[in-house]
Amino acid sequence: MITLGLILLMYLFTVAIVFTYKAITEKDLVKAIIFSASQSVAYGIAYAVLLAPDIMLAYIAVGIGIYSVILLYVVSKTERFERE
Amino acid sequence: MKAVKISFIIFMSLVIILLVLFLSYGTVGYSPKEVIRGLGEFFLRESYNLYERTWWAASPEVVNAALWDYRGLDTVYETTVFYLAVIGCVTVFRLLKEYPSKAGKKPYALTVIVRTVSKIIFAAIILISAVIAFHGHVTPGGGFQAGSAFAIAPLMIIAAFSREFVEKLGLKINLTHALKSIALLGITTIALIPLFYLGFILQNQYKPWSFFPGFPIGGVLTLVSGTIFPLNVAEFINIAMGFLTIFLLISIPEYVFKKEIKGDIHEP
Repeated sequence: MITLGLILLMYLFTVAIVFTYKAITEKDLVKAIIFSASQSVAYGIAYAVLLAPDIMLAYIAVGIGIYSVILLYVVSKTERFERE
Repeated sequence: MKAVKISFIIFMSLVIILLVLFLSYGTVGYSPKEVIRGLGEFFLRESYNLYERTWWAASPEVVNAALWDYRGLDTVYETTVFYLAVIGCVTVFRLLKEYPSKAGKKPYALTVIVRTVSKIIFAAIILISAVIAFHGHVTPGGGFQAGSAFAIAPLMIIAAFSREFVEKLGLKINLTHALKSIALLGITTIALIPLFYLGFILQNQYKPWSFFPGFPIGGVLTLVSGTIFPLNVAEFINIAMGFLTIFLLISIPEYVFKKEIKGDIHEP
């Protein structure tokens, strides 16, 4: 049982790290926000694996919904593409 | 550049493996042991102990019992911090009077598919957030989670329909602002009621060393857990309306602000 949890967590955190890396290097800021939200999905499932459903409920709503929308609002005030 | 990327990936994988090992065998989370540690054992045994009520919180959901009973003041201060953050946001926007929407012009909206799906999901989100809030003292959930889940629904409506659609539902900025303040007042009132019976601030149930008889806990089917249920509901309204106030403010078009702050701009 613990091995299953470990493997699941390892997979989820790896996915989260990959999405974080993509979000940092992405030049299209809207795509970067979507990558960031995907990282939040991985972390939300990780919280469920860690048996913390209370944190998961708040994390999904804030990490995927509110945070992304506020960042989208910020991007709408500036340029969509990052320049070198 | 390639080498940097590969070393970054290797390094981060190491970090992840160590993190997972720490989480699993260390202090938090997925405990492989069958023995529960002392602190956890205390909360699990006492929070809904019907036979020995000295330390109980009348709630089978230990997280909410800790949030509103054992560590109640922490949550009250968190709520206050959130309230002040929203007040700060409103102060930055400084626009609480209504602005006239352009009459006769059809509001911009997305396609029929998006609008229909949004309507269905809107109802589902409202229902789920209500369940999280009103059932938070029995199952995982609580006020903050429910409030932030609720805030997604009007946000989606603003994106799929328009700001006017949310206002037509009755959720105007002044109303959300007032509801938020009323909810905070409710939390304060519930926190201060035991003082009139010579109890402690935020006391939930009877304790042998105080005179307060404790809030009613309800029956088996109508369990309200003393203060935990009303505090959850008040927190739900406070958080939901706080987020909604911010979303309604940031969805106002920019030219309205430009006109509003014109008088404040200092020209040398």
